Amino acid sequence: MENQSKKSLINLTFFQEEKKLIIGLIIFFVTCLMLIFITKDISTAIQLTVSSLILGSLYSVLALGFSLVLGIAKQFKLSLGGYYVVAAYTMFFLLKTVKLNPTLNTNNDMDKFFLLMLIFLPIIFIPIILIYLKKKFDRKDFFLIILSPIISGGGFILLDTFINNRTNIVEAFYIGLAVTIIGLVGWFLEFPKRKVAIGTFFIGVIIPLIMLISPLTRPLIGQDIPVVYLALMILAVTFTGCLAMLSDRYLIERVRKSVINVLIVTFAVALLLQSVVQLVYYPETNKFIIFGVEIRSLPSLLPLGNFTVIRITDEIVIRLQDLQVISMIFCILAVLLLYIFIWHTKMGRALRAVSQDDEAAALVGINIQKSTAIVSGIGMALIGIAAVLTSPYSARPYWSPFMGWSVLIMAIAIVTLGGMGSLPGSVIAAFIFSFTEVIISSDPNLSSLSALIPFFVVLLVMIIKPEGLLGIEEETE
Amino acid sequence: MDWPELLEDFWQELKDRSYYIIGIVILLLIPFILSVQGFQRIPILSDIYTIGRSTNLFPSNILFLMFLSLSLIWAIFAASWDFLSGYTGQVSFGHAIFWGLSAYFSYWFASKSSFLIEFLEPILPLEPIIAIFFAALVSAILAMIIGIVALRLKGPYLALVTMILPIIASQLIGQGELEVSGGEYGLSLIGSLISERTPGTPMEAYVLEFYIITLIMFFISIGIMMLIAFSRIGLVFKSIREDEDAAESLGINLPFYKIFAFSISAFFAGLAGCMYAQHPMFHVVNTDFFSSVFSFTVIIYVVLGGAGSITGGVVGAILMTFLLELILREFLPPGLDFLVLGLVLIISLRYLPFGLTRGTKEQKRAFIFGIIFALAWSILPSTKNGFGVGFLSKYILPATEQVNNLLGQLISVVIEAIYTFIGKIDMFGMILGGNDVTYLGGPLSVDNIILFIFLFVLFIITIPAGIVFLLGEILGLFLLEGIMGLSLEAATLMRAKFLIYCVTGVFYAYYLPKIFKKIRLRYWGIYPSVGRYEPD
Repeated sequence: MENQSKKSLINLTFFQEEKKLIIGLIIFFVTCLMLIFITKDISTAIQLTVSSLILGSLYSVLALGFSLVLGIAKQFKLSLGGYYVVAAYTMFFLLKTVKLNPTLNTNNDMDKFFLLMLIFLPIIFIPIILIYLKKKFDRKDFFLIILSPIISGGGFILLDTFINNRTNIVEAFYIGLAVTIIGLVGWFLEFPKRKVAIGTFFIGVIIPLIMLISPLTRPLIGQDIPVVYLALMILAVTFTGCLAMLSDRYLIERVRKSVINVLIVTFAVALLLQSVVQLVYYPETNKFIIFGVEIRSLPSLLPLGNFTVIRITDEIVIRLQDLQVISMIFCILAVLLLYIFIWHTKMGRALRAVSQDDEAAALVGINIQKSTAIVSGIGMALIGIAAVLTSPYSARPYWSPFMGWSVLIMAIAIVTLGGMGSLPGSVIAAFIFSFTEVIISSDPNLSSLSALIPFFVVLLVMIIKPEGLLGIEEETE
Repeated sequence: MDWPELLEDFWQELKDRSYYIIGIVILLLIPFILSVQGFQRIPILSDIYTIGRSTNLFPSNILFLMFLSLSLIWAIFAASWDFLSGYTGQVSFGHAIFWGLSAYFSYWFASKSSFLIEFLEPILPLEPIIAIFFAALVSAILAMIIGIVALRLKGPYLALVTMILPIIASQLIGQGELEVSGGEYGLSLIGSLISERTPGTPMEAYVLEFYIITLIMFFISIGIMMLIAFSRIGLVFKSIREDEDAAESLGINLPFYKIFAFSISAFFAGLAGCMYAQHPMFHVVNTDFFSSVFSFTVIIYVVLGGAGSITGGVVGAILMTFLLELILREFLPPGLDFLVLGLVLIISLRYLPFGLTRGTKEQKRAFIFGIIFALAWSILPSTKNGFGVGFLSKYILPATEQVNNLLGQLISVVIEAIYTFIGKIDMFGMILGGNDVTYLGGPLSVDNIILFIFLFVLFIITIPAGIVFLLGEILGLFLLEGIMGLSLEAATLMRAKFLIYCVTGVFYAYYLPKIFKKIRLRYWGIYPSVGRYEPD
């Protein structure tokens, strides 16, 4: 039994086993805090600590996406950066499409063609989805699921007209679509059908309620709760996950036996994605524009300039960027959801079984193809969440189709340090990285070095202790 | 015929390697085919090249030689990667470090660089060719160190570590002193391999000189790598690739062979890097030499050609360089090379999992057929008045007039009608209409007649693919003109057309026999030629 638990790549039992490690980590973090608090004055120090926590939560989401796929599907997902780019660009595309003007000045055939595609594709797909749902669900569940987008979209239109004096059908449509897709994702992850239906209905009802209370949040965040942005975010993230699942099913499935071929294929997928993104057209105010390699910027959830100032005493003043705090909250939420999914659902149990021994899992009746596809979907959806939330501020100077590579190298470095495929390890390593980076970049003499840290960490860890902090040594057979 | 046994074996060997032999012969004959100054024309091959150039399919002599030498350099690099990763299984994702570092070192050795002058003062600057040799040696020594460190790592872990090495190197060199490394802008050429330019001689001569040097380098390095790979050492490498533990238990000195493979591979990768820095198209070395583009391009080349056989990398490199540089360069927006490379990789892993050189006989045949098909169909119709009318007005029609009988006129009318009809369909021809291309100039000589028969036979062979051809034309027009909204030059259009023909030709040659086989099986139940049931 002991051997079994050690072999599991997602073990939480390290608290009993690795006392030395715990002590070392405590010493590390205390030293970091000491360094910060001794060298800087107190308000700067608090600000640095908070910003390293924020950075750490972002890094941990990135690293979790990578190490989830590594731990369960046993794949090195080098296409991570590509999915990061795809999520950010999809979000950009959707945000532009929502503001689509139906009387768009379509001068040439190209623009007419794209406009028609944007209008007709949903019209074609909705009946297909409906027929599919009708086959798979009972009558009661089906009506609940159908009702929820109608309620959410309709409620959105009504409230928007009464409160804000404007009507946008496209936004309402996307909100309804997002609600439906949340339901479908739950169903795909093998939650019980009744629960899926009720949950979808619940989300559908809650959106008008959020709209109702949103004027109350104005003093807090300076604007209404951006329901549309959240809905579009869900769509973009789901799209990224679906893309990852498709590529897993149709490209990687064929070469799964050879680890090196998986590496090569995932890398090729990353290159393909970043090239394809450049070829896509998006609707601007009066025409369609190709993405290309130009630097753009993704509008963020909250305005970038918003700061919250907390005065503890007259001397201690902390300024926090709202967007960063919000993105940290979202990252923590994502990690919690992932934890619940893996430890408290049936599918999660199956995934843990696959991570321990895929052949035995297959014998028990677990569909390995499906579970690896789901794992890569979830992992890349996590990357998508990170991309949509953080690329507005973290990738700002370099926002381009090539911004994924630095993300990939960071994720690899964190996962190497934390131990290949160990989820708690990668979270811990993410915070180690964030503290180190913040401390080094706060010193003007050393700040040019901070770009090189991940490379040297990978080299050193690989050479000295290839299994990382919490990884398991590979058994030689 | 009753061959002696030895001769029969020899013939069999020759037959197995026929593609390689043809390739080598063509590489050696290139100066004659291009009929560069001082080289005689070869009747048919030179004519095909001239016609291709007159229809804008091939570029000028200078560019063609440049692309050829570039592809040979890539071929050395690909073979060196294959030597390490295909044979020994030590997958390197950062071969660019050897490529870039030895390029820098070759420049430093060839000049009085302040970086090396302290240690090597009496011998600097070295002759360019010796500088290149020493630079490659330096990269071999570096590879030894990396190999010693990497002994602990296996599979993907090694790949990740090697992926990171060139990035570190490029950062360090980019931040180095401006006099030594040139910073981010790099150094311009020091110590050229080819002789200095004098005002009188044409550019062609220099490019040809570079091509010949590259060709010699190519044959020597590929030869050495193949000698090692086909000897007992190669067998040891393969055993390490298949199962390290089993190999070790048989008494193989694992560390020695791994480090040996690393250093030999790095030597030739370094050689290729130096040659790349000497290439007349670039004449520069900068931190871009370390970019992962090089490391991954070479992997894609080898996977396309077939890993674990030195020749595979060579084939993949030459094919892909021509595809990218010659056919797609003007056509693709910048930065989209990897769209093509990624697609090629995924397609080749799907349909040719062991590479082009290890494909089935049908696949190889289809590929060769596709290229010939594309050549014939893109060269022939693009003459003066559309579809092959150049031939008609010059040779066939005068002959029929001379005979002057009813039958002859009828034939000529029918042929003309057919040709003008197809000429109308030839949409590319209409676009090309403005540019006046003369075809097969000069009097009716034996050369021209042979060439005419040769091309016409090719044409006739591929005529059943008319439907595919039409599809390709329409698709091409729709894609290029309609969707992408490009207004292309004649040359670019010609090359795009060539590519479309190539793809359609491959599909046609691969699937038509299969369909035919199925139909025969369906209606006769047996293969008539064999006479017995033989599914698939």
